[in-house]
Amino acid sequence: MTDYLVLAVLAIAVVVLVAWPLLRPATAADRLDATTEAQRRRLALREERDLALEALKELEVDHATHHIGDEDYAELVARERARAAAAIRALDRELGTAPGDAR
Amino acid sequence: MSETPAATPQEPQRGFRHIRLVVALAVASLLGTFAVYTAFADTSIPVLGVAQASTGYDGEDVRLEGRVTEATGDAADPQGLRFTVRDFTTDATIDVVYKGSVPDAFRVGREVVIDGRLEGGTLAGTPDTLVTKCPSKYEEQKTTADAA
Amino acid sequence: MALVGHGALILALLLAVWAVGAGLMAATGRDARFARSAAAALWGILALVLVADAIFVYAIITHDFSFEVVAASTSRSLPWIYLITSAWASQSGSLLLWITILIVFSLIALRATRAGLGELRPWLIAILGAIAGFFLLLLVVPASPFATQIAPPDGNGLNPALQNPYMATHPPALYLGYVGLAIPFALALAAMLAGRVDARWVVASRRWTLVAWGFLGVGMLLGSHWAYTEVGWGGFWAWDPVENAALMPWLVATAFLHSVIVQEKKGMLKVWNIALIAGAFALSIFGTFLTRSGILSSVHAFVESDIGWYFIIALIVICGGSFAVILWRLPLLRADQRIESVVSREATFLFNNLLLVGMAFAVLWGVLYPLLTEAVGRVRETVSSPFFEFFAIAFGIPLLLLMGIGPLIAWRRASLAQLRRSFLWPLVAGLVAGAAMIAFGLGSSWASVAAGSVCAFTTATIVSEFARGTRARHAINGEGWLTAFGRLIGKNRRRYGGYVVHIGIIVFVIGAIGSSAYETRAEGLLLPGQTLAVGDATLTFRGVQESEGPNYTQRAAILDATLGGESIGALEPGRRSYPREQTTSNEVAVHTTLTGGDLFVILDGIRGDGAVQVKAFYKPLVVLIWLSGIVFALGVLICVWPDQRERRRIRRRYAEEPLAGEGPA
Repeated sequence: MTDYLVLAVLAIAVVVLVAWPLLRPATAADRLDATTEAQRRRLALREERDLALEALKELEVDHATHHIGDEDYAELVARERARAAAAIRALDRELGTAPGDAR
Repeated sequence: MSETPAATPQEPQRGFRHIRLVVALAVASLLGTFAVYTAFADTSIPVLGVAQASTGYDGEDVRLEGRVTEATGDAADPQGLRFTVRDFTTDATIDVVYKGSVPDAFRVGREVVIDGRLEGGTLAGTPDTLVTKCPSKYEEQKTTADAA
Repeated sequence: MALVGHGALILALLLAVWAVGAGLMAATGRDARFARSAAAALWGILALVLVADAIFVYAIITHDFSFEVVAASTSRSLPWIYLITSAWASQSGSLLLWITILIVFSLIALRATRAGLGELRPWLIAILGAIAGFFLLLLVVPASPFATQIAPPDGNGLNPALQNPYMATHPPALYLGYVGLAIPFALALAAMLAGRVDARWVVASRRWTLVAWGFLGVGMLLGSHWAYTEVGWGGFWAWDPVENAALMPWLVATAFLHSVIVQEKKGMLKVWNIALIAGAFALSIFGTFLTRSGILSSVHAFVESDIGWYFIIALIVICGGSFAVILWRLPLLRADQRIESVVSREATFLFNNLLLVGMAFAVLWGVLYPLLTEAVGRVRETVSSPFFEFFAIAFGIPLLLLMGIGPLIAWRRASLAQLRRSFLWPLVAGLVAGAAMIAFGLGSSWASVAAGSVCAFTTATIVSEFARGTRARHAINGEGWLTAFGRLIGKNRRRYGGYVVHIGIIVFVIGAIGSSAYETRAEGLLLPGQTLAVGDATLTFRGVQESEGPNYTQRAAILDATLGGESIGALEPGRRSYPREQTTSNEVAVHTTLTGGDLFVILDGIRGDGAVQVKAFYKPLVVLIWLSGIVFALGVLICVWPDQRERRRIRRRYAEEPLAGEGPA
């Protein structure tokens, strides 16, 4: 008998637990927005920028530890710089800001 | 080799084709190794019930499954442990001679698995291959690990 | 009591169903209230599962044999430590442990989704709720730990092989690994469902995978040590289905841990990574299923145990669902860049992945071979150690080689001059090691010589990596050598932690080669006073000694041992018989030498006339196998230690781009 009583208390407790958030009416703050296409594009560009910057750091290390020669280093650095710059420019265009305003 | 910097954008494309070929070759060689080995290396043996094993596997290496009905002798003796296994469903039996380590749970009534060669209706057990199947009173996992 | 436990699990199952429903409502209806309700449901499941755990453990320690499981796997005479470990010795008990770990992991994973992953929350809750629901269903219907009976006076006791201290660590470690793989899988799937194909989920998954993978690795080694010392047939790995069950997800997770680096650095292999993590999780479920259904010992047993069908359906849902989601999101998953050269670090990662997945596939093939042959209408056939060993060698040696090559090759491409420079000394080291092995008479096994040379080569490249990095820091930043070395690791934890793991693998390989390819063995029937020689050692049989333990009696052979002519005292391999459990167990005697080899003695039988059948091995370098576990764990620890720089970078990126669902949901 006490077993059933304990179970009933547990059942009521969990129902209250999950129902609680739903009891009050939805407000504007409860609305979950989806990521927009534009946000996704910007995110991809930011990721691209960060990847290129990280790659630059890594190239520096690889060069210092003689994993890549001077010639390759110069070329790859130029390419990663161009990649980072392209990403930043594209990001600025997306944000519609002048280059100077970009963070 | 690119002569001018302007030509570099094409380079990745060319290298990419190249790598696709190498990756394809690598996958092919892995699969090839696999196929050739499984086809030609004779690593598998049939797993037979006692009734099955009594029908035309003489002279072959098999893995035999059955229930122990009687056991005499000692695996520590030069003559070895002699026991009889019976089929799970029929009355067919096969005698087994075995030397080597005997699993902890071995006794009459247990289901066992043993590797060996069938010779004239008797199984000459390969040393150290005798394994007992999980007796139902334990649901545990690892009794078969004695199989080395 | 049992009723409360069973009822708590039923309520938890209902909550799991609710979590899935409310999570999906929140994800599609975009209502944060449902997300909160779904998260509350997960907390509710935790509370209810803890109630069930408490009742189950209480029943075990109070010897309440009206619980079927308690009666089946414990007894009054069982020492208290094994009472605790018996909690996960049974099928239902281990599933209870599974769900407990899963729900704790899920709640931690949810907390970790704050920076940039808020949008994933509803999906994540729904997926984790579904996984929890599956295990709760198993616990409620086919494998209830709370099934009752009329209490017998005493229980059956625990299988003696499981009455071993390793049972306190080995199964929980494996479970932490198996369950841990659920989290990266859920993150990956949630990210795809939410359309968030950026690398954020990869960053979050990587750490979870590392932790799970680390536990799986350590758990396997603990299991090997258990098998070595307790099951006692003289080896540490038998390619048993239960062992393979843990190895397969570990191999696939290893592949994932390498290929995520390529995605994080280069934006490539996106689809491949999702497939890998889904595969690793599916294999972890498959592993649980293998250990728990008895499918491989007999197909008939499997058909009779209905738990098998639950797992098969779950596997189909996991594989089919992941495939469908990947296919749906394929347009978003284009690679940002392409591999430029076959001789580049990204290419070595790719080959490493092919080998690891190939190895996992070969093991899977071997495990399923009996079922496959039966399915095509042939007599059931099985494969054993030689099959698995072939692939371990055929795919393992190239993997070891790549482990040495990869770090020295730059991203994108490497020039010939650089390669010559980087590989000269490691190649010399490898060749010298191979020649030395042959010169010292170890040429009997060509695979071992090959593996030994490759190990030397790879060790040399890893050492040179540490040396070069330290030297560069010393030169550029003017740091002292020690500071430079410390900061080198501290500032590039993943890279150098990875190298430490690699060293652990090499140590393991050397130990495995030494102890298997170069072991010596001898066996014989000994009367008192007779001697058995094995390698450098001799064993002289003195007599049999009997002793009493808490729940067993033991008979041991006393053997005076010498090694290289020096006495090393007595070795006492024995056999214990457990009256309650009605079984005996082998107690092997092991003497570890200063060079890391083991003299390993098994008592196979005691004859009526007092003669003993003894088997003895000398296994060189076997200690390295256990030592490798410590190195491995250290490497994993270095890798998972929080990286503040990375955390800051991610925070900044997502602070710049405030995304949906980042509010305090």
